[in-house]
Amino acid sequence: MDPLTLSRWQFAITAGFHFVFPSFTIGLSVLIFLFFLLYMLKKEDVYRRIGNFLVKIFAVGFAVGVATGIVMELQFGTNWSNFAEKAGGVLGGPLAMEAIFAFFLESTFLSILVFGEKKISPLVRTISAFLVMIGTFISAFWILTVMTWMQIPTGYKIENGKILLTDLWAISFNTPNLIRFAHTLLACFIAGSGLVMGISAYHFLKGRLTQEYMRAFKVSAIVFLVSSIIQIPMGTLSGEYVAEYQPLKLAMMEALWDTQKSAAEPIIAFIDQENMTNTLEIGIPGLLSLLAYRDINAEVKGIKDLMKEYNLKKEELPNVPLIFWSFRVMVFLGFMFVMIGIASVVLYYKKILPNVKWFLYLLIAMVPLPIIANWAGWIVTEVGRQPWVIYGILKTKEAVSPLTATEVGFTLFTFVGLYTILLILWAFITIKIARKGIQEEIIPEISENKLL
Amino acid sequence: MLAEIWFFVLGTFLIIYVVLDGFDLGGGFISPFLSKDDNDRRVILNAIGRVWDGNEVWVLAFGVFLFGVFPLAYARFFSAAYIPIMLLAFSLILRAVSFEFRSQVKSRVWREVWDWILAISSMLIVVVFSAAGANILKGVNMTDQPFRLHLLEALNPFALISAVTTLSFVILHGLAYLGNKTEGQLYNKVLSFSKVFWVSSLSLLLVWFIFSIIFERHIFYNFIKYPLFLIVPAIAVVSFLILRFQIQKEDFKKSFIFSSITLISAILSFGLAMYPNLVRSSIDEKYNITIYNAKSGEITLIVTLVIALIGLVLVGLYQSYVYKVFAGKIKQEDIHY
Repeated sequence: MDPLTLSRWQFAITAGFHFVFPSFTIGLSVLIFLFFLLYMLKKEDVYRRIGNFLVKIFAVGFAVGVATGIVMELQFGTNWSNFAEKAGGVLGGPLAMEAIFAFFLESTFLSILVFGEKKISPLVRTISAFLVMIGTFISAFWILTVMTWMQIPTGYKIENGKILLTDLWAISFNTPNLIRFAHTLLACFIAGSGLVMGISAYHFLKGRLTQEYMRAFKVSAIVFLVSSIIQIPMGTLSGEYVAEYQPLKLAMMEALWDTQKSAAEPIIAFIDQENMTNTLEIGIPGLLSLLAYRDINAEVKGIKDLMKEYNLKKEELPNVPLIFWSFRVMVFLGFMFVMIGIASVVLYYKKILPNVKWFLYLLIAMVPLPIIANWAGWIVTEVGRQPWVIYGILKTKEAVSPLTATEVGFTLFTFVGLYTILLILWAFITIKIARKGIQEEIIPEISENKLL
Repeated sequence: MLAEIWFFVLGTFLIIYVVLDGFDLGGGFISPFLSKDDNDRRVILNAIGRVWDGNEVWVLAFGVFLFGVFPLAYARFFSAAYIPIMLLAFSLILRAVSFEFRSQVKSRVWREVWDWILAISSMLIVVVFSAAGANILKGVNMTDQPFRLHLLEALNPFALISAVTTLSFVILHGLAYLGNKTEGQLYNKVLSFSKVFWVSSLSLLLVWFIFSIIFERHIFYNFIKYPLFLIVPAIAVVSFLILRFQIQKEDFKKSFIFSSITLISAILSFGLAMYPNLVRSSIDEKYNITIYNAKSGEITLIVTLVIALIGLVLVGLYQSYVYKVFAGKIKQEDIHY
């Protein structure tokens, strides 16, 4: 394989692996804050214990997230030096915002959450949980700003062949970015709450129908349901911006080779990329035009026409079936989460949840599914951005560092090996903590010299 | 004007990073040698474990600002030193997870392995950073085209001596921190190790200096051109000597302060020696990557400067608060890791 392909695989694998952890921890941070807030408001110790339990799980995942996240920052320089050189001036701002306003905040106040229980008041602890949560949100926002800019470049000008920043506000607070941010956050809420639901379900199966697991389940199921419901229109909105700014990506998502008015939304299609046609297609007439442009008669441009517009060669087109099917996996799971969310809440409030054993097993099996949905979504948007790394401006093949296949092959191999081991260890430890469950503890005495 | 200011702002982030993460890297490395049992290891692990993550972010901030403000330097150096930077990445990963994974299983083998992973990865992080610094100071085989700095080239004699010397000082710094956190037998060990590592740091520094004067004299050029700069390394030396005195008195609060001042002045000296270069070329000075030819557009420099300054104040405030919360010796009840 050539160095470009190897570097692309390395980035995809390291990014995909990294994102498993923020998916869970961003969601968990919301729940941790909610439980500590409930503790402050209702003064019932059970909430504090649930919170502490989740902090244990959060801390392990967060560390792996930090570790694998640093690799992403480094890779801009190591494997994508031409991209770094060209885009550094624009992206340095958002990335700096992320480091200064997010990373410091979450890392510093996480220490308080993990270590500080005996030294500070419950109020300060709750504030720390809030700050950790906000820290994760801010982090997500700025990294998404970077990624949105790569899809929809704005707030810049080109002078003497250099890309120069003109407007940080435009890059950060444009509507597509805000929508993508909301879409990603909701996806993480689903993942985090799904994890807690699965853990609670496990303990229900073991007969532990205690206040701890009941309340943990209740709060997380509500978060799960609300998030999964809002995610549906949020995803649709996201699609509308793809239609407006990245018509080629939309066409690939729907395997629409030829421009069409009143385009159908394919459910399944047998795609023949070689001949640029679909040998079989089953879809809902007019729905694509309706979803993309809110007009059932709208014309949706096809891949072939758009390739001519962008002057793309056939071999530059990314893998359309991959984009097409990933999109469907994500949407299918998205709707499935709504169903499971509704069922969970209904069964809980009817007080029959612990008796429906097959559903409890389903909840446990569901834990990794939001990750699959997140991966599917990222494949759609990132593979769909190809052949560009900065849409319409810099092609991926022009952005790569001048490295040899041997060295990238070596590091890729090492990452795959190291990350596989890390994943197994992380899962092993997290499952261990989950199975051990929420501990009975005596309320700790706050020492006299507490600060604040 | 902006580029010059940015050189020193970047330097500030680097200095803060070395003073903070320096002690937990140093402490992490020396831990297996200091500890006689699992409890000792856990005391040390908890002393540094509570603050390592917030400390490490300072180098991440340094990295993103370098990326935004001097992208040419970032891009060229990171891709040139591909394997060394990847080695750094693997070390950072292993170090981060070792804190969280280590005590989760009650197995001696498991804990022993993770303690050594922490020690070795901490060491490698210090070595890669200091070797990188040594190489950009000494000069790399760079023209105006993208260049390559292979692992063995990067570990040339000057870089190796610089790395070992830095490691000694960083371990000493870690010991100075641990002197404030430990009690009893472990504290005694920290005290005796401090004396040893003070001597080793002094010896290695002399070796480094003699080697540099003979073989890499050009690194001192800025000090010859502007002798006033010599005040900074002089402060480093003086505070290093005072440090010995503080260790003798068993005053670890002051030891940590003077160890910090030594490191601050040392890194500042490094900055003064480099200025205005970011990466030196050993082939011809005209190929140097400088703050002038590497800088981004003016708006970027201004925007990021505002972010940096707000950050320094804001983060400085709340990290100080957290250190205050965690002040004092590690007691049994403090042990979480």
